Amino acid sequence: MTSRARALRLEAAGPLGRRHPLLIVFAIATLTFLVAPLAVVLPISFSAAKYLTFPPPGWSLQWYARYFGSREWMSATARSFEVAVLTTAAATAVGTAAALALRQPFRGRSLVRLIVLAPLVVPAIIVAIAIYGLYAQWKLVGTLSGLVLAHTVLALPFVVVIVSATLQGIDETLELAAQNLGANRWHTFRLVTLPLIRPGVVSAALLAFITSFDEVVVAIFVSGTQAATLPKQMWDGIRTEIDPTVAAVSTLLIGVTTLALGLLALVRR
Amino acid sequence: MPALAWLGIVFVYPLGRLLSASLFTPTLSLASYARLLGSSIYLTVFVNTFEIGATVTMLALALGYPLAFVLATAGPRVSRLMLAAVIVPLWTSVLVRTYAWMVLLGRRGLVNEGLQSWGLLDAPLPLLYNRLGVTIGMVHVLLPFMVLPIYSVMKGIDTDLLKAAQNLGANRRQAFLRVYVPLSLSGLATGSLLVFVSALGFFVTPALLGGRRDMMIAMLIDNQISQLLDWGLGSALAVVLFAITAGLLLAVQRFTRAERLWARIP
Amino acid sequence: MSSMTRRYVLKMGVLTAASAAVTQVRAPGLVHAQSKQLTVCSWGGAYQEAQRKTMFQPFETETGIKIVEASPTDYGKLKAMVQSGNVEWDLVDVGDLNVIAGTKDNLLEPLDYQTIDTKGVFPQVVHKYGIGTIYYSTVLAYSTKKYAKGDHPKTWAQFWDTKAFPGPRTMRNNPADNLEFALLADDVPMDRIYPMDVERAFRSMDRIKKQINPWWTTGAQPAQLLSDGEVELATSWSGRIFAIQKQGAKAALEWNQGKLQWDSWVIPRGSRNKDGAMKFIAWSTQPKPQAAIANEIPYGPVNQKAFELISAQAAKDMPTAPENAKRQLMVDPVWWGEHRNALVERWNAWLLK
Repeated sequence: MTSRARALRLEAAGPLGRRHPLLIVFAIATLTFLVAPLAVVLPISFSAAKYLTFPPPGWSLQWYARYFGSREWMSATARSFEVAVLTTAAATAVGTAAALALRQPFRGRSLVRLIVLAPLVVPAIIVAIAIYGLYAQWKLVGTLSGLVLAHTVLALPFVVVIVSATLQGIDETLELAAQNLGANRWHTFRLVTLPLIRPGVVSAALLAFITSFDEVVVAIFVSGTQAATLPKQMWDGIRTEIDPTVAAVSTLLIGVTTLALGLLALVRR
Repeated sequence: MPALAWLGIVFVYPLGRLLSASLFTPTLSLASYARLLGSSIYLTVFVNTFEIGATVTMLALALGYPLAFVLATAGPRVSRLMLAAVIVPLWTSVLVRTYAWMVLLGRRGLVNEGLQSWGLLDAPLPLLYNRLGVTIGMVHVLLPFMVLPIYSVMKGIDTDLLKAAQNLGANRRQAFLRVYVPLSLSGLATGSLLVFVSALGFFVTPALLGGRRDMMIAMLIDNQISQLLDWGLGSALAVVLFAITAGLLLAVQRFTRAERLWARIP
Repeated sequence: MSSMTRRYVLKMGVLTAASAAVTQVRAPGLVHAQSKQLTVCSWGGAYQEAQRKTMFQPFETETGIKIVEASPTDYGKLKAMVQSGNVEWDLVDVGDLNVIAGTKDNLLEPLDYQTIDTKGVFPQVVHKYGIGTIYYSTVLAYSTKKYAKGDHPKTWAQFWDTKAFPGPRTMRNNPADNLEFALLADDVPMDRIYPMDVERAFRSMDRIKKQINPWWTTGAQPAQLLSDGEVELATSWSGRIFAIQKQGAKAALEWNQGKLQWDSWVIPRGSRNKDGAMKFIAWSTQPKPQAAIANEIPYGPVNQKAFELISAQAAKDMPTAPENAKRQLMVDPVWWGEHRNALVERWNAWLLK
């Protein structure tokens, strides 16, 4: 390597210098730790054995066939999509509006911020039983709207945070200019602000979707029997079944998540 | 305009939960609290939960800090790839990840089989249905929560400061320890807080990976509510958990600015 | 209101209306579908699969009533449902003791014996609020990988003996399938088990407590744990072991000192399809379906007439086969029904210690 290239390389590495190779190995090991379990589920889902055993004795699509052929699994999947789509719509709409509202300072703003952020850190079990207790009274257990409402509450903080962050990044003078030219608040929003924050809103929507689709604890309590979501069905399946259909479902879920995140990355670009 | 929007938030969410909180006093909830505190069994569960939470947080920190550092100082393409490796697990369902650990950690699971075939073990290690299994599973699930805040703070550290320190005579190690680390502390604090608080309330992972002695508060709450229908005690437990969570958050907020939480999501 | 607010309200209104509409569109459909749909809750795993194949699906084909399945049965959940008025299960497969407990707790609908023909059904399982589904046993199960030469423990005292038979074990997280074994392990003779000396049973359980990890909660688990190699000894429901053997796993069971018992169909009070449930019970108690399920998974039929249609292999593996039954203890559901609630509470506290 020429001394000039080396100098550039060192410069690029910054004043911290080159990272110690051990550090890099450690980091890679940690990343493997993060990713490996996801990778393990894949071969299991193609196992030819009749029950969960590792390593699989052969390969077969039987578990996928089982999943697609099962009335219970399919209705749970449909249900999850339903709930997730509705939740995304609701959470994105309400969350974006909230983020807009939180831009201007007003009395009690930090309190509202706190409340909005709360679902992120309050343990899911507490939210679950609180909502369950309430729904039992209001007869909302096992209903679609009940579940959508609950999931919206959980997805809202993500939307608000992301859209707020995006809003911070846009140039407010553009909006002011629009208003000076005669646009009212709604027009300004629709024609100026929204296009500017669109990537943020779309990202938020995607994350709201994932949050709802994968949500398990609240679903265990609130989704009821007839209208179980996919995670609830998986929770039951892990405990009551001995076959790896759950592995097939898991693989599909990982696929869906990766797809959604991939879309997100594209949107961000 | 948005008044209607966040009327929705303010209405739906806290109402939902506070109303339920008020339902916590149908059965002389003070009596439930007394039962809670008086019984050594429930206290054991609390102690368990804190133990597990602390262990998980420390492990996550030990693994997460170096990873965040490498992430923050890597080239753009590499760091994007690495970030993906952190974010995809983060957004994968906790159920899928826990199930994967059930498969990995069994006596005849991949880990044991691998270690045995490499001659490192004679007999399988009990890695599942005990504290070890729960800890591993929880660290895995919560690690991204540690890595991302630290990473985002580290990204913001001005390397000129380090150059300045070096110009003033510090060597690389000193610059790192005396300048870089303190600057990354707020990310560290946020990450640790997030991980610890999340760990306290965990349900799915300890329920599936843990043994009898690893019962955590969330499992106890579920037990009381869905099995024993003891809403009084279950609610009391939930309120205590909530109080602890809220207390921790408020306490740490005094030391770091809440704005950091906003920067958490990539 | 500014135009923006109006638009906004409109937007929110549309959204709410949309979600309400979706629910509404379902609601009348739901009510209409009630009579054409029956929600059945059972124990999951191989047993429920057998029920699906030999009972749920044929019943659906014959009567056109759609069966929606749920699992696993959970007495606590049942209680919660009935008491809150949110009854989601129309028909539930419960353990024998829970018929008595459920009657005591006023959670069940009385059965309509005009519709249900009990000719040929063993009188033992016919009750005002429940009728038997199958006979089964809780037995000592073991890994044949470890105990290949018939050297497995054959009594509960041996199961308790961790020196002679070291190795991981699992037992059920429920007093119901444990206390009798604890007494048997303590050398209480089989004909003196009931009424149970609970103190003595718990003391006996204390001796083995530390060896048990994990404690299983669903029927599939002990079979799974044995086949995984996670445990070498277990208590298990008999049919599950045969089911997993059929799939090649190395597990087997010991009939000696097993506990013979039965499951019952009950209808939760407030069930939304009582008539459908009664129809199903009447249908499934007939000899043909009874034989079909016994041939699928070797549990004992409650209808004597079914024996003519049962294969020789199934007859041999049944818990009620004379060879097997004579070595077992017959459960006393009445005693359990009386004491269930108190014992479950005590058990939960005991387990946490």
